[in-house]
Amino acid sequence: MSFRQRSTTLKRLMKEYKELTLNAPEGIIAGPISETNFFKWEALVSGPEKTPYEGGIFPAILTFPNDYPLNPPVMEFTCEMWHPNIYKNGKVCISILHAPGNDPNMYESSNERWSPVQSVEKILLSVVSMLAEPNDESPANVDAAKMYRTNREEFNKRVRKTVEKSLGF
Amino acid sequence: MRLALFGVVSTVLTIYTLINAYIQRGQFFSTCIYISHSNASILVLFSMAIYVFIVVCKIIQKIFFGPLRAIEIEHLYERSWYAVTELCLALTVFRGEFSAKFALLLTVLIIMKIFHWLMQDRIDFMEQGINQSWLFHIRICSVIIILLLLDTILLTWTLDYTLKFGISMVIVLGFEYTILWSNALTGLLKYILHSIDLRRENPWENKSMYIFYIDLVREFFVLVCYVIFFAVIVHRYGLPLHLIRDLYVTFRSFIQHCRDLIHYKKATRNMNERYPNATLEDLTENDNICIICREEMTIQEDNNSSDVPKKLRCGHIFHLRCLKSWLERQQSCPTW
Repeated sequence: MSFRQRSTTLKRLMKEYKELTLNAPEGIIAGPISETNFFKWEALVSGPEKTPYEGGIFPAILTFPNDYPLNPPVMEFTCEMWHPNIYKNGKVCISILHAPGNDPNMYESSNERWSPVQSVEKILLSVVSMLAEPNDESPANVDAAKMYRTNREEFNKRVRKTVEKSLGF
Repeated sequence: MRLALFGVVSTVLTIYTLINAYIQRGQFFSTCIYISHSNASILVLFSMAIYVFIVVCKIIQKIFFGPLRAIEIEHLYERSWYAVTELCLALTVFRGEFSAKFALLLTVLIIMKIFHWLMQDRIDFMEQGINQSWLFHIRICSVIIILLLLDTILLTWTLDYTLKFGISMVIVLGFEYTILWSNALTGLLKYILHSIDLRRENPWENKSMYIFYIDLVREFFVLVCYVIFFAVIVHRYGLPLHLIRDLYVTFRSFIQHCRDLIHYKKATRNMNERYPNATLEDLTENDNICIICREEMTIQEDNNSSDVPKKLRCGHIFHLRCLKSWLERQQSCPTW
Protein backbone atom coordinates (compact mmCIF):
# COMPACT_ATOMS: atom_id res chain seq x y z
CA MET A 1 0.00 0.00 0.00
CA SER A 2 1.56 3.25 -1.05
CA PHE A 3 1.31 6.46 0.87
CA ARG A 4 -0.73 9.28 -0.54
CA GLN A 5 -1.15 12.76 0.74
CA ARG A 6 -4.67 13.76 1.59
CA SER A 7 -4.02 17.08 3.17
CA THR A 8 -7.04 18.04 5.26
CA THR A 9 -7.72 14.59 6.57
CA LEU A 10 -4.09 13.90 7.24
CA LYS A 11 -3.55 17.15 9.10
CA ARG A 12 -6.54 16.53 11.31
CA LEU A 13 -5.45 12.95 12.05
CA MET A 14 -1.97 14.14 12.99
CA LYS A 15 -3.47 16.78 15.30
CA GLU A 16 -5.66 14.23 17.00
CA TYR A 17 -2.73 11.88 17.42
CA LYS A 18 -0.67 14.63 19.00
CA GLU A 19 -3.47 15.56 21.41
CA LEU A 20 -4.02 11.93 22.33
CA THR A 21 -0.37 11.36 23.13
CA LEU A 22 -0.09 14.59 25.13
CA ASN A 23 -3.09 14.11 27.38
CA ALA A 24 -4.66 10.73 26.89
CA PRO A 25 -7.69 9.87 28.99
CA GLU A 26 -7.23 6.97 31.34
CA GLY A 27 -7.51 3.50 29.92
CA ILE A 28 -7.11 4.48 26.29
CA ILE A 29 -4.16 4.39 23.94
CA ALA A 30 -4.36 4.97 20.20
CA GLY A 31 -2.06 5.79 17.32
CA PRO A 32 -1.22 4.98 13.71
CA ILE A 33 0.09 1.48 13.15
CA SER A 34 2.87 2.63 10.86
CA GLU A 35 4.26 6.04 10.04
CA THR A 36 3.58 5.62 6.34
CA ASN A 37 -0.15 5.12 6.69
CA PHE A 38 -2.04 7.46 8.94
CA PHE A 39 -5.39 6.01 7.89
CA LYS A 40 -5.05 2.86 9.99
CA TRP A 41 -4.74 3.16 13.74
CA GLU A 42 -4.37 0.66 16.48
CA ALA A 43 -6.13 1.30 19.78
CA LEU A 44 -5.98 -0.38 23.17
CA VAL A 45 -9.06 -0.11 25.34
CA SER A 46 -8.95 -1.30 28.92
CA GLY A 47 -12.12 -2.74 30.40
CA PRO A 48 -13.93 -0.34 32.75
CA GLU A 49 -13.80 -1.06 36.47
CA LYS A 50 -16.65 -2.83 38.25
CA THR A 51 -17.77 -4.51 35.05
CA PRO A 52 -17.00 -8.04 33.86
CA TYR A 53 -14.60 -6.44 31.38
CA GLU A 54 -12.43 -5.11 34.21
CA GLY A 55 -8.76 -5.91 33.87
CA GLY A 56 -8.96 -6.75 30.19
CA ILE A 57 -6.95 -4.92 27.55
CA PHE A 58 -8.67 -5.12 24.19
CA PRO A 59 -6.82 -4.28 20.96
CA ALA A 60 -8.77 -2.76 18.05
CA ILE A 61 -8.08 -1.37 14.60
CA LEU A 62 -9.51 1.96 13.44
CA THR A 63 -9.76 2.50 9.67
CA PHE A 64 -10.35 6.08 8.58
CA PRO A 65 -12.11 7.02 5.33
CA ASN A 66 -10.59 9.46 2.85
CA ASP A 67 -13.00 12.18 3.83
CA TYR A 68 -12.54 11.88 7.58
CA PRO A 69 -13.79 13.82 9.62
CA LEU A 70 -16.86 14.17 7.40
CA ASN A 71 -17.40 10.43 7.66
CA PRO A 72 -16.65 8.23 10.67
CA PRO A 73 -13.91 5.59 10.88
CA VAL A 74 -14.63 1.88 11.24
CA MET A 75 -13.58 0.26 14.48
CA GLU A 76 -12.92 -3.45 14.78
CA PHE A 77 -11.65 -5.34 17.78
CA THR A 78 -8.93 -7.77 16.85
CA CYS A 79 -9.44 -9.97 19.89
CA GLU A 80 -12.42 -12.13 20.72
CA MET A 81 -15.23 -10.01 22.18
CA TRP A 82 -18.55 -10.98 23.73
CA HIS A 83 -20.81 -7.94 23.82
CA PRO A 84 -24.31 -7.13 22.47
CA ASN A 85 -23.03 -4.17 20.41
CA ILE A 86 -19.98 -5.83 18.88
CA TYR A 87 -20.37 -8.08 15.84
CA LYS A 88 -18.87 -11.52 16.04
CA ASN A 89 -16.14 -10.38 13.63
CA GLY A 90 -15.17 -7.60 16.05
CA LYS A 91 -16.83 -4.63 14.34
CA VAL A 92 -18.17 -2.11 16.82
CA CYS A 93 -21.74 -0.94 16.27
CA ILE A 94 -22.56 2.27 18.15
CA SER A 95 -24.48 5.28 16.92
CA ILE A 96 -21.49 7.65 17.02
CA LEU A 97 -19.77 5.46 14.41
CA HIS A 98 -22.69 5.65 11.99
CA ALA A 99 -22.45 8.04 9.07
CA PRO A 100 -24.76 11.04 9.10
CA GLY A 101 -27.75 11.02 6.80
CA ASN A 102 -30.59 8.64 6.48
CA ASP A 103 -30.68 5.84 9.00
CA PRO A 104 -31.74 2.64 7.27
CA ASN A 105 -33.19 1.28 10.51
CA MET A 106 -34.73 4.60 11.53
CA TYR A 107 -34.17 4.28 15.24
CA GLU A 108 -31.32 6.71 15.65
CA SER A 109 -31.92 10.40 15.22
CA SER A 110 -29.11 12.11 13.34
CA ASN A 111 -27.85 14.02 16.36
CA GLU A 112 -26.61 10.83 17.99
CA ARG A 113 -24.63 10.02 14.90
CA TRP A 114 -21.22 10.91 13.57
CA SER A 115 -20.35 14.54 12.99
CA PRO A 116 -16.98 16.30 12.63
CA VAL A 117 -17.29 17.45 16.24
CA GLN A 118 -16.57 13.90 17.32
CA SER A 119 -13.03 12.59 17.49
CA VAL A 120 -11.03 9.43 18.04
CA GLU A 121 -10.92 10.23 21.72
CA LYS A 122 -14.70 10.56 21.93
CA ILE A 123 -15.18 7.34 20.00
CA LEU A 124 -12.94 5.42 22.37
CA LEU A 125 -14.63 6.96 25.41
CA SER A 126 -18.03 5.92 24.06
CA VAL A 127 -16.67 2.45 23.48
CA VAL A 128 -15.59 2.29 27.11
CA SER A 129 -19.03 3.38 28.27
CA MET A 130 -20.58 0.92 25.82
CA LEU A 131 -18.57 -1.84 27.53
CA ALA A 132 -19.89 -0.68 30.89
CA GLU A 133 -23.48 -0.33 29.71
CA PRO A 134 -24.42 -2.50 26.76
CA ASN A 135 -27.40 -1.37 24.72
CA ASP A 136 -29.45 -4.50 24.09
CA GLU A 137 -32.14 -2.58 22.17
CA SER A 138 -30.26 -2.66 18.87
CA PRO A 139 -27.86 -5.58 19.18
CA ALA A 140 -25.11 -6.43 16.71
CA ASN A 141 -24.55 -9.79 18.34
CA VAL A 142 -28.04 -11.14 18.98
CA ASP A 143 -26.85 -14.16 20.96
CA ALA A 144 -24.86 -11.99 23.33
CA ALA A 145 -27.80 -9.60 23.74
CA LYS A 146 -30.12 -12.47 24.53
CA MET A 147 -27.71 -13.89 27.07
CA TYR A 148 -27.22 -10.43 28.56
CA ARG A 149 -30.94 -10.10 29.09
CA THR A 150 -31.85 -13.57 30.24
CA ASN A 151 -28.77 -15.04 31.88
CA ARG A 152 -26.48 -12.33 33.24
CA GLU A 153 -24.33 -14.77 35.20
CA GLU A 154 -23.53 -16.83 32.12
CA PHE A 155 -22.89 -13.61 30.17
CA ASN A 156 -20.41 -12.35 32.77
CA LYS A 157 -18.66 -15.73 32.80
CA ARG A 158 -18.31 -15.67 29.03
CA VAL A 159 -16.95 -12.11 29.18
CA ARG A 160 -14.40 -13.07 31.83
CA LYS A 161 -13.16 -15.77 29.48
CA THR A 162 -12.56 -13.25 26.68
CA VAL A 163 -10.79 -10.99 29.18
CA GLU A 164 -8.43 -13.82 30.09
CA LYS A 165 -7.90 -14.55 26.40
CA SER A 166 -7.15 -10.91 25.62
CA LEU A 167 -4.44 -10.97 28.27
CA GLY A 168 -2.98 -14.13 26.80
CA PHE A 169 -3.82 -16.57 29.59
CA MET B 1 -18.98 -28.17 6.23
CA ARG B 2 -22.75 -28.48 5.93
CA LEU B 3 -22.37 -27.89 2.21
CA ALA B 4 -19.85 -30.72 1.94
CA LEU B 5 -22.24 -33.04 3.78
CA PHE B 6 -25.08 -32.03 1.48
CA GLY B 7 -22.82 -32.61 -1.52
CA VAL B 8 -21.76 -36.07 -0.38
CA VAL B 9 -25.34 -37.11 0.39
CA SER B 10 -26.70 -35.84 -2.94
CA THR B 11 -23.87 -37.39 -4.93
CA VAL B 12 -24.28 -40.77 -3.24
CA LEU B 13 -28.05 -40.67 -3.70
CA THR B 14 -27.76 -39.64 -7.35
CA ILE B 15 -25.29 -42.42 -8.16
CA TYR B 16 -27.46 -44.91 -6.31
CA THR B 17 -30.64 -43.85 -8.16
CA LEU B 18 -28.93 -43.94 -11.54
CA ILE B 19 -27.33 -47.35 -10.99
CA ASN B 20 -30.49 -48.75 -9.46
CA ALA B 21 -32.58 -47.54 -12.39
CA TYR B 22 -30.12 -48.94 -14.90
CA ILE B 23 -30.01 -52.34 -13.20
CA GLN B 24 -33.78 -52.49 -13.16
CA ARG B 25 -34.30 -51.46 -16.79
CA GLY B 26 -31.05 -52.46 -18.40
CA GLN B 27 -31.35 -50.03 -21.27
CA PHE B 28 -30.45 -46.39 -21.59
CA PHE B 29 -33.73 -45.22 -23.05
CA SER B 30 -36.03 -47.05 -20.65
CA THR B 31 -33.82 -45.96 -17.75
CA CYS B 32 -34.41 -42.35 -18.71
CA ILE B 33 -38.14 -42.87 -18.90
CA TYR B 34 -38.15 -44.65 -15.58
CA ILE B 35 -36.22 -41.83 -13.88
CA SER B 36 -38.39 -39.11 -15.35
CA HIS B 37 -41.53 -40.86 -14.16
CA SER B 38 -40.41 -41.60 -10.61
CA ASN B 39 -40.97 -38.71 -8.19
CA ALA B 40 -38.24 -39.88 -5.82
CA SER B 41 -35.60 -39.96 -8.59
CA ILE B 42 -36.61 -36.49 -9.75
CA LEU B 43 -36.25 -35.24 -6.19
CA VAL B 44 -32.75 -36.71 -5.88
CA LEU B 45 -31.67 -35.29 -9.22
CA PHE B 46 -33.15 -31.94 -8.23
CA SER B 47 -31.14 -31.82 -5.01
CA MET B 48 -28.02 -32.72 -7.01
CA ALA B 49 -28.82 -29.84 -9.36
CA ILE B 50 -29.09 -27.46 -6.40
CA TYR B 51 -25.73 -28.67 -5.12
CA VAL B 52 -24.05 -28.18 -8.49
CA PHE B 53 -25.65 -24.74 -8.72
CA ILE B 54 -24.26 -23.71 -5.33
CA VAL B 55 -20.81 -25.02 -6.16
CA VAL B 56 -20.76 -23.17 -9.48
CA CYS B 57 -21.77 -19.96 -7.69
CA LYS B 58 -19.02 -20.47 -5.13
CA ILE B 59 -16.42 -21.00 -7.83
CA ILE B 60 -17.48 -17.87 -9.70
CA GLN B 61 -17.37 -15.95 -6.44
CA LYS B 62 -13.84 -17.27 -5.67
CA ILE B 63 -12.60 -16.26 -9.10
CA PHE B 64 -14.14 -12.80 -9.31
CA PHE B 65 -14.45 -11.68 -5.71
CA GLY B 66 -12.06 -13.74 -3.62
CA PRO B 67 -12.99 -14.04 0.05
CA LEU B 68 -16.09 -12.04 1.03
CA ARG B 69 -16.06 -9.49 3.82
CA ALA B 70 -18.41 -10.01 6.76
CA ILE B 71 -20.59 -7.08 5.77
CA GLU B 72 -21.00 -8.49 2.27
CA ILE B 73 -22.19 -11.82 3.60
CA GLU B 74 -24.61 -10.06 5.92
CA HIS B 75 -26.04 -7.97 3.06
CA LEU B 76 -26.30 -11.09 0.96
CA TYR B 77 -28.47 -12.88 3.50
CA GLU B 78 -30.59 -9.82 4.14
CA ARG B 79 -31.30 -9.19 0.48
CA SER B 80 -31.75 -12.86 -0.37
CA TRP B 81 -34.69 -13.10 2.00
CA TYR B 82 -36.49 -10.23 0.34
CA ALA B 83 -35.62 -11.44 -3.14
CA VAL B 84 -36.88 -14.97 -2.50
CA THR B 85 -40.14 -13.87 -0.84
CA GLU B 86 -40.78 -11.38 -3.60
CA LEU B 87 -40.08 -13.99 -6.22
CA CYS B 88 -42.57 -16.35 -4.57
CA LEU B 89 -45.16 -13.56 -4.56
CA ALA B 90 -44.39 -12.90 -8.22
CA LEU B 91 -45.00 -16.58 -8.95
CA THR B 92 -48.49 -16.33 -7.47
CA VAL B 93 -49.31 -13.67 -10.04
CA PHE B 94 -48.09 -15.84 -12.90
CA ARG B 95 -49.06 -19.23 -11.48
CA GLY B 96 -50.82 -20.22 -14.73
CA GLU B 97 -47.67 -19.97 -16.84
CA PHE B 98 -45.12 -21.63 -14.58
CA SER B 99 -42.93 -24.31 -16.15
CA ALA B 100 -39.50 -25.90 -15.78
CA LYS B 101 -38.07 -23.46 -18.30
CA PHE B 102 -39.14 -20.52 -16.18
CA ALA B 103 -37.77 -22.15 -13.06
CA LEU B 104 -34.41 -22.24 -14.82
CA LEU B 105 -34.70 -18.64 -15.96
CA LEU B 106 -35.59 -17.52 -12.46
CA THR B 107 -32.58 -19.35 -11.04
CA VAL B 108 -30.36 -17.51 -13.52
CA LEU B 109 -32.01 -14.28 -12.41
CA ILE B 110 -31.24 -15.02 -8.76
CA ILE B 111 -27.57 -15.72 -9.55
CA MET B 112 -27.38 -12.49 -11.50
CA LYS B 113 -28.91 -10.59 -8.61
CA ILE B 114 -26.46 -12.05 -6.13
CA PHE B 115 -23.49 -11.01 -8.21
CA HIS B 116 -24.90 -7.53 -8.69
CA TRP B 117 -25.18 -7.12 -4.92
CA LEU B 118 -21.63 -8.28 -4.42
CA MET B 119 -20.44 -5.88 -7.10
CA GLN B 120 -22.24 -2.97 -5.43
CA ASP B 121 -20.73 -3.76 -2.06
CA ARG B 122 -17.27 -4.04 -3.54
CA ILE B 123 -17.56 -0.69 -5.28
CA ASP B 124 -18.85 0.97 -2.12
CA PHE B 125 -15.85 -0.51 -0.34
CA MET B 126 -13.61 1.57 -2.61
CA GLU B 127 -15.02 4.67 -0.97
CA GLN B 128 -12.95 3.94 2.11
CA GLY B 129 -10.02 5.02 0.00
CA ILE B 130 -7.76 2.13 0.73
CA ASN B 131 -5.41 1.49 -2.14
CA GLN B 132 -6.28 -1.82 -3.67
CA SER B 133 -4.03 -4.25 -5.45
CA TRP B 134 -4.12 -4.73 -9.21
CA LEU B 135 -5.97 -7.96 -8.68
CA PHE B 136 -8.83 -6.06 -7.07
CA HIS B 137 -9.12 -3.71 -10.03
CA ILE B 138 -8.89 -6.47 -12.61
CA ARG B 139 -11.52 -8.48 -10.79
CA ILE B 140 -13.99 -5.66 -10.29
CA CYS B 141 -13.54 -4.37 -13.86
CA SER B 142 -14.19 -7.78 -15.36
CA VAL B 143 -17.19 -8.29 -13.07
CA ILE B 144 -18.73 -4.97 -14.11
CA ILE B 145 -18.15 -5.59 -17.82
CA ILE B 146 -19.41 -9.17 -17.75
CA LEU B 147 -22.52 -8.25 -15.76
CA LEU B 148 -23.26 -5.30 -18.03
CA LEU B 149 -22.92 -7.52 -21.11
CA LEU B 150 -25.05 -10.31 -19.66
CA ASP B 151 -27.73 -7.84 -18.57
CA THR B 152 -27.86 -6.37 -22.06
CA ILE B 153 -28.03 -9.77 -23.73
CA LEU B 154 -30.76 -11.05 -21.42
CA LEU B 155 -32.67 -7.80 -21.67
CA THR B 156 -32.72 -7.85 -25.47
CA TRP B 157 -33.74 -11.51 -25.36
CA THR B 158 -36.72 -10.76 -23.10
CA LEU B 159 -37.70 -7.83 -25.33
CA ASP B 160 -37.56 -10.01 -28.43
CA TYR B 161 -39.56 -12.69 -26.71
CA THR B 162 -42.25 -10.27 -25.53
CA LEU B 163 -42.53 -8.67 -28.96
CA LYS B 164 -42.88 -12.08 -30.60
CA PHE B 165 -45.22 -13.82 -28.18
CA GLY B 166 -46.96 -10.99 -26.39
CA ILE B 167 -46.93 -10.21 -22.68
CA SER B 168 -46.12 -13.22 -20.55
CA MET B 169 -44.11 -14.10 -17.49
CA VAL B 170 -40.95 -13.13 -19.37
CA ILE B 171 -41.86 -9.52 -18.74
CA VAL B 172 -40.94 -10.02 -15.07
CA LEU B 173 -37.47 -11.02 -16.17
CA GLY B 174 -37.28 -8.13 -18.61
CA PHE B 175 -38.17 -5.74 -15.85
CA GLU B 176 -35.69 -7.24 -13.38
CA TYR B 177 -32.89 -7.11 -15.96
CA THR B 178 -33.67 -3.48 -16.70
CA ILE B 179 -33.17 -2.71 -13.01
CA LEU B 180 -30.02 -4.83 -12.84
CA TRP B 181 -28.69 -3.18 -15.97
CA SER B 182 -29.11 0.25 -14.39
CA ASN B 183 -27.35 -1.11 -11.29
CA ALA B 184 -24.39 -2.33 -13.32
CA LEU B 185 -24.17 0.94 -15.21
CA THR B 186 -24.16 3.07 -12.05
CA GLY B 187 -21.61 0.62 -10.65
CA LEU B 188 -19.37 1.30 -13.63
CA LEU B 189 -19.73 5.08 -13.25
CA LYS B 190 -19.02 4.94 -9.52
CA TYR B 191 -16.02 2.72 -10.12
CA ILE B 192 -14.63 5.28 -12.56
CA LEU B 193 -15.19 8.11 -10.07
CA HIS B 194 -13.57 6.20 -7.21
CA SER B 195 -10.59 5.25 -9.36
CA ILE B 196 -10.04 8.87 -10.37
CA ASP B 197 -10.30 9.87 -6.72
CA LEU B 198 -7.73 7.26 -5.68
CA ARG B 199 -5.27 8.61 -8.24
CA ARG B 200 -5.54 12.18 -7.04
CA GLU B 201 -3.18 13.84 -4.65
CA ASN B 202 -5.84 15.81 -2.80
CA PRO B 203 -9.30 14.68 -1.81
CA TRP B 204 -11.79 15.30 -4.56
CA GLU B 205 -14.42 17.50 -3.03
CA ASN B 206 -16.96 17.22 -5.83
CA LYS B 207 -16.95 13.44 -5.93
CA SER B 208 -19.70 12.97 -3.38
CA MET B 209 -21.83 15.38 -5.38
CA TYR B 210 -21.36 13.40 -8.61
CA ILE B 211 -22.15 10.16 -6.83
CA PHE B 212 -25.26 11.75 -5.41
CA TYR B 213 -26.41 12.78 -8.87
CA ILE B 214 -25.69 9.33 -10.29
CA ASP B 215 -27.83 7.76 -7.59
CA LEU B 216 -30.57 10.30 -8.12
CA VAL B 217 -30.75 9.68 -11.86
CA ARG B 218 -30.71 5.94 -11.32
CA GLU B 219 -33.49 6.14 -8.77
CA PHE B 220 -35.58 8.22 -11.12
CA PHE B 221 -35.03 5.70 -13.90
CA VAL B 222 -35.91 2.77 -11.63
CA LEU B 223 -39.00 4.56 -10.40
CA VAL B 224 -40.21 5.15 -13.96
CA CYS B 225 -39.58 1.46 -14.75
CA TYR B 226 -41.52 0.40 -11.69
CA VAL B 227 -44.49 2.57 -12.56
CA ILE B 228 -44.60 1.32 -16.16
CA PHE B 229 -44.24 -2.29 -15.09
CA PHE B 230 -46.82 -1.85 -12.36
CA ALA B 231 -49.30 -0.45 -14.86
CA VAL B 232 -48.69 -3.32 -17.30
CA ILE B 233 -49.16 -5.98 -14.63
CA VAL B 234 -52.26 -4.36 -13.14
CA HIS B 235 -53.74 -4.09 -16.60
CA ARG B 236 -52.95 -7.66 -17.59
CA TYR B 237 -52.93 -9.74 -14.39
CA GLY B 238 -54.05 -7.87 -11.30
CA LEU B 239 -52.20 -6.33 -8.38
CA PRO B 240 -48.46 -7.31 -8.35
CA LEU B 241 -47.98 -7.86 -4.62
CA HIS B 242 -44.27 -8.53 -4.92
CA LEU B 243 -43.59 -5.05 -6.21
CA ILE B 244 -45.31 -3.00 -3.56
CA ARG B 245 -42.48 -3.01 -1.03
CA ASP B 246 -39.80 -2.18 -3.58
CA LEU B 247 -41.91 0.49 -5.20
CA TYR B 248 -42.53 2.10 -1.84
CA VAL B 249 -38.86 1.95 -0.79
CA THR B 250 -37.65 3.39 -4.08
CA PHE B 251 -40.27 6.10 -4.02
CA ARG B 252 -39.43 7.10 -0.47
CA SER B 253 -35.69 7.23 -1.00
CA PHE B 254 -36.16 9.17 -4.24
CA ILE B 255 -38.28 11.77 -2.46
CA GLN B 256 -35.76 11.91 0.37
CA HIS B 257 -32.89 12.45 -2.05
CA CYS B 258 -34.78 15.17 -3.89
CA ARG B 259 -35.44 16.87 -0.58
CA ASP B 260 -31.75 16.59 0.37
CA LEU B 261 -30.79 18.10 -2.96
CA ILE B 262 -33.14 21.04 -2.49
CA HIS B 263 -31.87 21.61 1.05
CA TYR B 264 -28.29 21.42 -0.11
CA LYS B 265 -28.88 23.81 -2.99
CA LYS B 266 -30.62 26.21 -0.63
CA ALA B 267 -27.87 25.95 1.97
CA THR B 268 -24.98 26.43 -0.45
CA ARG B 269 -26.53 28.99 -2.78
CA ASN B 270 -24.67 32.29 -2.43
CA MET B 271 -22.77 30.96 0.52
CA ASN B 272 -20.68 34.09 0.54
CA GLU B 273 -23.66 36.39 0.95
CA ARG B 274 -25.76 34.00 2.94
CA TYR B 275 -23.36 33.43 5.79
CA PRO B 276 -21.59 36.47 7.18
CA ASN B 277 -17.83 36.45 7.54
CA ALA B 278 -16.75 36.11 11.13
CA THR B 279 -15.31 39.27 12.56
CA LEU B 280 -12.13 39.54 14.59
CA GLU B 281 -14.21 39.78 17.79
CA ASP B 282 -16.09 36.62 16.88
CA LEU B 283 -12.82 34.78 16.53
CA THR B 284 -11.24 36.08 19.72
CA GLU B 285 -14.38 35.68 21.81
CA ASN B 286 -14.76 32.02 20.95
CA ASP B 287 -12.27 29.33 20.33
CA ASN B 288 -10.76 30.15 16.96
CA ILE B 289 -10.38 26.50 16.00
CA CYS B 290 -12.54 25.20 13.13
CA ILE B 291 -14.12 22.09 14.58
CA ILE B 292 -14.10 20.32 11.21
CA CYS B 293 -10.42 20.50 10.28
CA ARG B 294 -9.19 21.41 13.79
CA GLU B 295 -7.16 24.29 12.46
CA GLU B 296 -7.02 27.92 13.37
CA MET B 297 -9.24 30.36 11.57
CA THR B 298 -7.89 33.76 10.72
CA ILE B 299 -9.36 36.79 9.02
CA GLN B 300 -8.62 36.54 5.30
CA GLU B 301 -7.66 39.46 3.09
CA ASP B 302 -9.14 37.82 0.02
CA ASN B 303 -12.90 37.49 0.41
CA ASN B 304 -13.08 34.68 -2.16
CA SER B 305 -10.54 32.47 -0.43
CA SER B 306 -11.90 29.11 0.74
CA ASP B 307 -10.33 29.74 4.15
CA VAL B 308 -12.69 32.59 4.99
CA PRO B 309 -14.26 31.92 8.40
CA LYS B 310 -18.04 31.87 8.08
CA LYS B 311 -20.52 32.32 10.87
CA LEU B 312 -23.74 30.31 11.00
CA ARG B 313 -26.96 31.59 12.49
CA CYS B 314 -26.36 29.46 15.58
CA GLY B 315 -23.09 31.30 16.18
CA HIS B 316 -20.68 28.53 15.23
CA ILE B 317 -17.82 29.43 12.95
CA PHE B 318 -16.17 27.28 10.27
CA HIS B 319 -13.89 27.62 7.26
CA LEU B 320 -15.89 28.14 4.09
CA ARG B 321 -14.47 24.99 2.49
CA CYS B 322 -15.11 22.86 5.58
CA LEU B 323 -18.67 24.14 5.88
CA LYS B 324 -19.35 23.43 2.22
CA SER B 325 -18.09 19.87 2.32
CA TRP B 326 -20.19 19.21 5.41
CA LEU B 327 -23.35 20.73 3.90
CA GLU B 328 -23.03 18.27 1.04
CA ARG B 329 -23.69 15.50 3.54
CA GLN B 330 -25.99 17.05 6.03
CA GLN B 331 -27.86 20.33 5.96
CA SER B 332 -27.54 21.27 9.59
CA CYS B 333 -24.84 22.70 11.83
CA PRO B 334 -22.19 20.02 12.54
CA THR B 335 -22.34 20.70 16.27
CA TRP B 336 -25.94 19.54 16.50
